[in-house]
Amino acid sequence: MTTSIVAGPGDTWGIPGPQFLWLYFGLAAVAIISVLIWRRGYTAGPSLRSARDLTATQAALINGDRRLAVYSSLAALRAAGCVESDKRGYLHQAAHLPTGASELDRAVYAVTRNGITTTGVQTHHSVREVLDRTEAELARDGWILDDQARRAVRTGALVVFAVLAIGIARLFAGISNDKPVGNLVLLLIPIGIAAFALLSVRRVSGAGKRILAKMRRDAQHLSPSQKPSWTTYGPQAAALSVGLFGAGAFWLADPAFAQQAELQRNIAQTGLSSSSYSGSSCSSSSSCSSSSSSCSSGSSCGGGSSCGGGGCGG
Amino acid sequence: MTTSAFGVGIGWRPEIAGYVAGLPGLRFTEVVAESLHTHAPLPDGLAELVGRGVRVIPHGVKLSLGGAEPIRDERAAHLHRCAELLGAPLVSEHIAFVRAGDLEAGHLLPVPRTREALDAIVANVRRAQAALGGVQLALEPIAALFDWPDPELTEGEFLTEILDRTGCALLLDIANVYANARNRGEPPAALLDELPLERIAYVHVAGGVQQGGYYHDTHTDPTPPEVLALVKELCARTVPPALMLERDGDYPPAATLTAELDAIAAAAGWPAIT
Amino acid sequence: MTPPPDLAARQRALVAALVAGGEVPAGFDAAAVRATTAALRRKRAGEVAARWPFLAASYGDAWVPTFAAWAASRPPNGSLRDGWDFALAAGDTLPGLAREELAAREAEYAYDGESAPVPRRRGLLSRLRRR
Repeated sequence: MTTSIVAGPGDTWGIPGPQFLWLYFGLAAVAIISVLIWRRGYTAGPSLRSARDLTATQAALINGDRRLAVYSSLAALRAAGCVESDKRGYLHQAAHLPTGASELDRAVYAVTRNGITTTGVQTHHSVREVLDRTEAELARDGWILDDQARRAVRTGALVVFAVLAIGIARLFAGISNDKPVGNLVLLLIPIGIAAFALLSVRRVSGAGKRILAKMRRDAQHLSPSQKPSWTTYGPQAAALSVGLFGAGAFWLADPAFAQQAELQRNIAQTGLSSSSYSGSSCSSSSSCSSSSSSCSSGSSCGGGSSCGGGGCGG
Repeated sequence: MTTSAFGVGIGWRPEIAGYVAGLPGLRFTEVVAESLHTHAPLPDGLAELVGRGVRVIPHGVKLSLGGAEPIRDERAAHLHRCAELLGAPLVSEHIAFVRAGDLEAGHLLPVPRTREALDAIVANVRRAQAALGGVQLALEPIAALFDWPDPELTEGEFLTEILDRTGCALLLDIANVYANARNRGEPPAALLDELPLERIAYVHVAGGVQQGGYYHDTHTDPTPPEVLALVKELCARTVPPALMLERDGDYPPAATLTAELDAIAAAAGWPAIT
Repeated sequence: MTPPPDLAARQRALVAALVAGGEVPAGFDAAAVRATTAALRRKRAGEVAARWPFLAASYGDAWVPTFAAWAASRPPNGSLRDGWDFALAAGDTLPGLAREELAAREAEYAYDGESAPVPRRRGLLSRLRRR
């Protein structure tokens, strides 16, 4: 059969334009939705019902990264008073390690014996070894996705790229047949966006996000907005505070050490701005008669005392 | 022998909220009224205590009842809203002033023990009571390193007359009694005997430190044995509804707080809440 | 019942002596009033440190004496304004960490130095603009 160029336009691929658009839309929708459902199932992670709470180190690794895990151990060591920083940022042992220290706490404490910077701690082989092992366990249990798992999830995007390829082939065929392709282009744009979006895969599984949320609810008192007293709650609570609420929690609780040890600040903040940590702010100025949330009661210096001044945020 | 209605308690502070929530026998606590935003929900830890049936009392520090100028309606209304939010039948404030004219002291200051000052306080208390509706008001006398010159009344007389004329209850701060007696060089138990103990709504216990020739009631130090001894004296005379540890900062390890609460319970002859 | 003007004036004189560098009024134990003043300043420094943790931390052990010296004749305005006024007065001598905290506060509130700081609008657009 010869294709006639001169005698009357034939439909591209033998399918009329509008009909193809509908079929294609249906195909793309099915493909994208199936991939999304498959991804969700694949990255769901373990059931929370039978899961115990994570340790501070595990929470830090899921919430942030290895730096945060090291910081959470440093928080425990600081709260126990067994690590100090000198002015140049070198960490030194200051007292014996208390009982109940986690594996990472012990490893971090051990490497500070001869003085070491925080970055040095992060890259020291014995600390890395503990972190490698913990991360592998988390990935094996499904709280986070390791590189292999993420590559597998990414292949789901291939299906959508295949659909995209079909559309592009139709596009070129249509152009060479002088067919109107405007609608097809409009349809290809969101499919293209979806295909590329599907290439990015979260590191944390659905269960990982949910268990962090649950632990944060249970450990509300350790949130930086409460300015928790690490001395009162103890070293493991300090570690959990940093692991769950990010490096900002460390900066607020022990700013002098955080500055000297040159800890980074913006690891895994949980959406609170750092300025809203210290004290509450009052939105309505007329009826508010409160000051910062750490207002003390009537303690005296000899006289009674009250919070300084009046007005909101004072 | 009557038992205390609420027993030993501790002041609620966000910094130690987790510790307070974990006290098994806790039935009484107090929160600084100015730290509550009444147009927002209660802090989670506090809401949980209220839900559990723990009595939470709002404690004001900035009303300035002892000031010559009338109290501000907004502040009194705020106290009332706090009581509503917490379901509290009682609020407490101080017999002191914190501002004069355009100057804020940022601190609770003593009032002169004169009839003139007495009338001014009673007027302010009545204003506060009007704003509080049916909620009872308890007044706390403060500790001060100095007194005003030419007092016309003793501390006991001054306090008793205020309470008689207003019908308010007494928030007895045992640490303040100790501090005042010590700084004046008088026996603390004698001051205790002057006070109308039958009007006690609840009692504060707190720590302090001797420094620079004076005893400072800091609320950031451990409760000294002398204050615990005074608690014992008090409980030999009457049974307060609650004995509450006030700690405002420099919070010690949980075990230390527990030991302090146990010591207070022991001094009172009450069960431990820890 | 109108408050006696006498009492109001006397109370103001006492407050001025305690927080604004005024003279101790007649009849008061001057040593006790001075001891109260010193303790009041320490407490105020502690409250400002709670509201401005990075500011206080950047001065370390010198925070209380440095702040107390600056606050000696300035009555309290609440810990937010006190810390802010102190930071502005420090100018170029303000340590880096404190400077960051000041910048964060300036993003959160509008403060002209005269009246209480006003929270800024926290709309998405204004937050993006500040980034």
